[in-house]
Amino acid sequence: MSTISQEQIGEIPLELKPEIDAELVEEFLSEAREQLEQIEQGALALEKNGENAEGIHTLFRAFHTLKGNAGFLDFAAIGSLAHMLEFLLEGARANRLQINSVIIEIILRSRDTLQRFVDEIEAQITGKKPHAVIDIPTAALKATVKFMIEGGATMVAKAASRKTEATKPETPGEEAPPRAELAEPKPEPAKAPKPTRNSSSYVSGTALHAVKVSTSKLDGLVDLTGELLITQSLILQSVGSPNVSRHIIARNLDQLSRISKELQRTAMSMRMVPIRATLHKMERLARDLATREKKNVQMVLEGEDTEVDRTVVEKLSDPLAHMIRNAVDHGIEQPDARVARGKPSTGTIFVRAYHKSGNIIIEVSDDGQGLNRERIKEKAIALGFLQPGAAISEKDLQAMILRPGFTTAAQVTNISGRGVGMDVVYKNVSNLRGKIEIKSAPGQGSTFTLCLPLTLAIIDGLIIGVGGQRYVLPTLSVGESFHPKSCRITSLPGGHEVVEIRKEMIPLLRLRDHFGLREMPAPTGDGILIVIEADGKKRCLLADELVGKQEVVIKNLGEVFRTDPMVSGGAILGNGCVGLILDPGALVNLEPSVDDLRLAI
Amino acid sequence: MPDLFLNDAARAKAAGKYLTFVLGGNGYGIPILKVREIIRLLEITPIPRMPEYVRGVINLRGRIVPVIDLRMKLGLTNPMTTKRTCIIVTHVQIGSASRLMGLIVDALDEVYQINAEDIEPAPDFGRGTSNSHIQNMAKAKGQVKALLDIDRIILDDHALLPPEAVLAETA
Repeated sequence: MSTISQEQIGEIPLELKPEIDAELVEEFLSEAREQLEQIEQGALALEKNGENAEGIHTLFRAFHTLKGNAGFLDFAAIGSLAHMLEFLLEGARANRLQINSVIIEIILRSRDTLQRFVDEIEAQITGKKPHAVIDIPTAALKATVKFMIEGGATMVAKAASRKTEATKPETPGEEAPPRAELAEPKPEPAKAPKPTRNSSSYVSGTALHAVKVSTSKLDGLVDLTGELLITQSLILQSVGSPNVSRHIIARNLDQLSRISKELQRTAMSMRMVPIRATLHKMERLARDLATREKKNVQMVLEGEDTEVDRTVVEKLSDPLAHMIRNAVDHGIEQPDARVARGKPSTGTIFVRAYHKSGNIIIEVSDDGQGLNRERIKEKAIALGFLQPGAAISEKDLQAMILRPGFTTAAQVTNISGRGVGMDVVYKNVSNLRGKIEIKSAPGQGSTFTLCLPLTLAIIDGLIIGVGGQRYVLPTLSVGESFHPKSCRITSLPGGHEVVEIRKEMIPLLRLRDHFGLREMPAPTGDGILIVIEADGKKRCLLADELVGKQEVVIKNLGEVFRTDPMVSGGAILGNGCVGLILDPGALVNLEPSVDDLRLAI
Repeated sequence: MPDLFLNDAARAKAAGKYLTFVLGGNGYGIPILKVREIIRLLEITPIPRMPEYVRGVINLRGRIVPVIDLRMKLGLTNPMTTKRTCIIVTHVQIGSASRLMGLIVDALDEVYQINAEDIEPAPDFGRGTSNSHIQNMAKAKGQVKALLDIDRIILDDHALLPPEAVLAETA
């Protein structure tokens, strides 16, 4: 076993040398993220069950690999910290040290510090941040670890069992006289605002550039491609020779279409990843919050293997983190309050993920106090969302908390209650084209159910024709469509026009004019009016014709040019041509907006 | 301002295989390594509210690729579409990323090996004329070809670029 040298204890700044191989660094980062994830999960598992030799070993291995990889790239700052942790775990493995909450906390803190290094390196290597020396303090942490290794641990273990609130690694420093190197780094833990982690730090870990695909999926893809080539040559042969019956050609074509479908299914499945990592991050979040709020919370996860598109997974962290925060902050009561209500002192947050008819459903339920009906009502009236004395159904009242700026926290804490709560969740979920449902019973807890599409890569599109071109509108945002003769179009000063539909005035947008296609051959009919809705606003579009409906795969437009915001992407249509996908959000926000017109009328 | 004389290193760097093509009767070339493939003129979907030379996007076997009309971009008016008109799909460098882009040209010529001694600097036509996208001139088989800097042609139009590319360009 190696010993700890003095220079490893000090602060080591990290600098990316200009000649460093970016590809190697990216590989390091992607592996480091995986190891950090393992460390986090391992530490949490160890916290639940301290006598787990395999768990300690997993942690040890993760730190060891991280140290080796960092050493290879000469990242001494990361290497030395990982080395210290490895040393600490080595002690635990040899039963010289007992795993307790203090050690778990140290492991998690070290993990977070390493995560900061990884994030910083990634930002610099991808050019998001200018090249600079990365100076994240590690000395204090390393000194604490050293102190633990050098016999402090047994003392601390006793101290921890005596004290109820001994979760901070600084406490050993106070209990036992600190050694020279422990005194110097003292300010760090105090100023490092570790607990006020914002939600973004929970998201950052998912932005991986490389993709891991299971070998079975890859093998399947290779097999299918082989089959495809064989079938293709069969078809070529049968077309070339004169005396092949149509029957055989039909059979080969049938085989071809079967293979293509299978190929598409396999390719799509490669975009899917299990939701496990995201859920485990939530477990960590719940633990951190509960520790700070002095609440007892356990988290039960179910359906960690549920697969979802990687783009959805990346955007899921934020809303989920908000929901977990809400559950810990507003839902679960203090232990004594819980006991007084006849509930177990430890609250449970139950997170369940599963597939249901092409959607992924994520349920977050807690056995806390439930939504406070009266307080929501009070707040809704105070914010002007509700008239005093007005009757409101339970469901509508619960939907109130999804409105922007709504919070019922009586006191603003640094966890939640800043007025950005469920409305952010609602917005995130809407951006993912999903829905959210709330169920709550006073005193028994609340359940929030997220329903999200499995992939963002495919949308249901309404194809419209304008000036000989085809455009795609997301069907979700289309309200209705009708013949222009069936309603009245009124011109307003300034050249604007409004359509009157059932006593409602909706501003009109003539797509031919707006797209600059006025010179194209005129449509045969009068065209068609389509009402779209987005961001709570409506707009009526005049197109030449409705072509049909199609599920389209969203693609970017080559990322060479900055296109008009109203074009959000492209899709290959049934005829093999590209159809542009229109962004309803940009279309409704084109001046003038509905509100301007209301004033004008 | 372009140099009147190229040093040997610059010549050697510019030497290599070039794909040559015709625009409005004149010969042009781009480095062969920038070319991904050549396809016939297929149906192009126009993008609304873009400059005229940005002809739109095409479906390149499932991938959407923007196409510009190189003739219009270089100021040749009223381009004619003939049987020989085609699209050269090229790799362009936008910021730190490489993207595909199609260039419409009148006709293809052939692939030439252009040697260092055949390369001359782009002529300076005086102030006010912009020929920054012409990297060099080259003599090939008794003709003069303008060797184009494809990346430069795209970067010309800052308003059209994604914000991160403009950032990388000015940095």
